[in-house]
Amino acid sequence: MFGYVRPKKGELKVKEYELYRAVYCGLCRTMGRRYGHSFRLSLSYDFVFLALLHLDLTGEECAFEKKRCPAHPMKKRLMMKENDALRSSCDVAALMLYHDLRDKIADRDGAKSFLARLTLPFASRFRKKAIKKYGCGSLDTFMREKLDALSALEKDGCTEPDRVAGVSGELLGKCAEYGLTEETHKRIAAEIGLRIGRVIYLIDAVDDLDSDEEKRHYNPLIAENGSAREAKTKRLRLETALLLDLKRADDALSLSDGKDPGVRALLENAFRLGLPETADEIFKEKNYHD
Amino acid sequence: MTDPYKVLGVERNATDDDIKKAYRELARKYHPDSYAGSPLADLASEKMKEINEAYDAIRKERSERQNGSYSDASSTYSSAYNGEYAQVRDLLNRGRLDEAETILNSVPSAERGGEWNFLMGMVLQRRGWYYDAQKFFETACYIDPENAEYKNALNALRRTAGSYGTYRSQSGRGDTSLCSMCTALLCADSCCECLGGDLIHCC
Repeated sequence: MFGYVRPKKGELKVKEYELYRAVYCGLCRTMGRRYGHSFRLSLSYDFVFLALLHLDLTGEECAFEKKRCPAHPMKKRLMMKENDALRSSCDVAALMLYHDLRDKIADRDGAKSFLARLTLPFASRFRKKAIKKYGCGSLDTFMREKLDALSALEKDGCTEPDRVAGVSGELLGKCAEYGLTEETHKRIAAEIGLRIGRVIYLIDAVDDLDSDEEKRHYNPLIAENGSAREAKTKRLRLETALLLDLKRADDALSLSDGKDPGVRALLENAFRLGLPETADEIFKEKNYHD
Repeated sequence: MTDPYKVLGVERNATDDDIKKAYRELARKYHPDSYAGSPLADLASEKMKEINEAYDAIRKERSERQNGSYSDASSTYSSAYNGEYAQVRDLLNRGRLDEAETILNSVPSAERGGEWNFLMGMVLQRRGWYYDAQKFFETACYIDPENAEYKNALNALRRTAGSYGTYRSQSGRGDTSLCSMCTALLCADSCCECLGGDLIHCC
């Protein structure tokens, strides 16, 4: 995954920031417990977001503890104790890691695919465990299907960015509802996942414009516009689309009861400030304009 | 009236596709958007009218030749599909997007004018595909720059996105000063202008 989904730190209250850190550390710890310490290296902001989303939807009681962490041994840190939200986010991360590596290898992109080959055996072990021990079999099948659909579109050179982004969104939608039981929660999570998945895909497409063009890899925006240079003249259109997707995610979130105001504040911050900020930075970096 | 073939700069025996291509090319050249604010805007729009008339005339002539009769389609592009478009609007209202899309896709690409692009944009917008939806709205506005419905659809999307974006501009970025106030005023002005009013008279 990409790590685009995170709150804008400067706009958080101190207690919200501490909560975020606690979830981050809690997730990291859960990853170590469930899959072994090497898995902790793959920790990403996106899965912290997923855990927060579940916390908001289910409103489950959270407990905290102060513990030392091997990466920062000097000081005890506040972390969230293992709970359902952390567990399901962690399992999704295990599957995602494996499929992501598989795709990188299939891309045959020199250094990246070499690194992916090295890590694949580990990821494969995590995935097997997720399926056998934690019952993620059906999510795994769904992921494979969607990723195959995605690479088929990419191979076809699909010229409709929304179509490709949509498939990616459906994938994240399914991931987001994994582990939830109540129908309403699932529906809200699926919509938020779909919207955020689309945003992530499109931002990533912008981020990769130059390298994709250089290596002649598929990129939906290049396929649509013919060249990276031309694609970069469509800022208004893309920015509008991203903001509308984020608004849909935000609207969906407001349908959840959200018992913890801190969790809600973190999610809203990510939709309203964090993601638009990330997008803006990438637009600027890539010299996007109208 | 001048020879419509001459206006478009094509031979009499040119294929329909050639004619369409020539028309598109000229329409792009004299499009009012390219002359916005130019003192020659009126000349360009005159030219545009001429091109539209010529294109209509050729299409009318050719379809008469083909069918022996002429359905009283009058405006540029697509009017032969009024029935289909009404049906698409009805399906859109009832939320049956896939059926609406199927009908739209059955319109041959040579006949896809402003309304077709607008309706396709509506289908995609309903589906939540905002990027491609805007693309179709932009094309619709381009083909038929006078049409308020098309323009409104595009502007509505941008307005919604813009107001969601204000969360970010409100959060202190350190440069909230006169500059952002001016931007806000200019935004308000263009919103007013969209609705037919005006806030700042000089721009």
